[in-house]
Amino acid sequence: MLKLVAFTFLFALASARPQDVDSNRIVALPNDDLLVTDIGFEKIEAKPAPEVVSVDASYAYGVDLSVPATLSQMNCLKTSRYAAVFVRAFTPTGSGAFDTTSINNIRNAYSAGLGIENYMTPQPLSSLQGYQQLDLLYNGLHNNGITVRSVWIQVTSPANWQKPQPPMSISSIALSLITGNWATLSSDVLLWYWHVLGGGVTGETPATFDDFRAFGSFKAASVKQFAQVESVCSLTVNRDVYAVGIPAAAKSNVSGKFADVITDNNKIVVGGVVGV
Amino acid sequence: MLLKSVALISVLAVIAQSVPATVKVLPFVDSSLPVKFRQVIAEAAPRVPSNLASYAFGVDLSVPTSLSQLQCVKQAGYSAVFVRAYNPSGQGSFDQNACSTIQNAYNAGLGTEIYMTPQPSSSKQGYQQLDEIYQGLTQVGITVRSIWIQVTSPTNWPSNANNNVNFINSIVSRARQYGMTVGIYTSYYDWNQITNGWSSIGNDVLLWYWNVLGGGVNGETPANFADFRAFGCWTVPSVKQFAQVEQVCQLTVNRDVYAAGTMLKAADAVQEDGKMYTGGFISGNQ
Repeated sequence: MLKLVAFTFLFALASARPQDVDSNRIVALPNDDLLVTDIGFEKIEAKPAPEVVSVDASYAYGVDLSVPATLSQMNCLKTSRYAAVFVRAFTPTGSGAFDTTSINNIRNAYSAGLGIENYMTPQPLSSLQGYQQLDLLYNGLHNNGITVRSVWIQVTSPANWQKPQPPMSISSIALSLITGNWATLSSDVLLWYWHVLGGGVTGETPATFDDFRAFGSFKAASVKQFAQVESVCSLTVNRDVYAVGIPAAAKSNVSGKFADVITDNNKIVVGGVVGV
Repeated sequence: MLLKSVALISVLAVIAQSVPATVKVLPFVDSSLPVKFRQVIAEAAPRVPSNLASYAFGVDLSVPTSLSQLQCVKQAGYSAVFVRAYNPSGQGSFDQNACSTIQNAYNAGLGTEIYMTPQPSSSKQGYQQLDEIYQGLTQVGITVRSIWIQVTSPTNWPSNANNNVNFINSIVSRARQYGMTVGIYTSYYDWNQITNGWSSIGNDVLLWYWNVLGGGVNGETPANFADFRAFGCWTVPSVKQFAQVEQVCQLTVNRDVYAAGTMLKAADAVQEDGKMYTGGFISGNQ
């Protein structure tokens, strides 16, 4: 059963409603100084993250990343008390493509005994429809011996999303999620939300769900990203906390050494680590 | 086999394009999902605490107001009203409601600040939009001392950050020419999305930031600056919007705090010269 899960952040901001406008009564005035010739932009550098100190058995820590990670880095994550990695398996570059770094990331995470979830950063401006992009992810992993049980869809960065065009597609739904409260999403869609005060260590929020407020059809959250752009085991990652639940029922053999990583006919299975 | 069937949930189910025969046809859960939007209904806001000496409270609004409503706002413990003076609809226009709201606020003993919600996709340049505000208020005898520029809702801005920077700077430069104090109303995420983290806007530009967990009373954050983290060129904020879409005196407003020590008395809204002023109640000195 391929379960799709949604990862959203809602901006509670008013949007303009088009109306007719009065005629302009503008006096033309010189505007020579109004172009910025030297624009400075903030640069964000990943600093080392604080250590994981987990006193609550119902929460576990993970990192989400889209960079390649070696086996020793994955081992380091495990030693650093992270229980899972959320690996990007679809990249929005160009018209969107299967993210090939996910293959080794998943294999290394599996060898290190980490739980594995995967997420896709779709490309809403692509000529590829949403389901076609998901197909690329699914086939990309499947062709490399990886079975996908669930996927997280990244619906963030409104600047990258276009206004909705008919017919409805995943991008317009996501845009609705971004710009409004969509109350009719299916109830089996899980939520991975983020809340930081800024990038880096100083911008972290507490690694709990206390700041979650219901929106749209999401009454509860499953994962929270509470820190962004930090360095863990020399990887630039974001940090997450998730509710440790019972993974979706799986008729498979549990591999001996790593109880929380499941294989199916010698295929690595990703997804289902995060409970509802 | 774990994957007995591939069942896509309704997120993909609403893709209503025809599927070529070679692509596997998936059992859609609901192919005609109506997209509904939840209405946000403003509930009554909590009361302003009476013992907070260091912060003052304000409301920001874009709806028309009556004198009695603003008197009620004053009674409820608010010190200032942040009034929208520019409407982004269509090509953007001066918001006429600002005139009466500023007048009512003065009569009620409230300070006022004005903010503009610009229209970055307009054929009018940034400075032209500011000019409309300046002329609109000056014509009714209101002198504008400061202006806050709303830079939020990334979906309402074009995707080119450099163009957005130039647009905003057009407004900021024009405001400086008029001798106004300039501030930006934004959040770190909005700012990153819209301007790519523009950090050279100028040290004289103040910051009004927002942080809520959601709309309404349930989504409020504490009415203080403890959750502020430096971004852009800002290391301290002047105002924080901590609550959105709530009812105060039957007005749908957002709620704000600012450092109280910097606030001029509302009576200073009218100087000895008899002119009415708006703005200048918030300063950058913390």
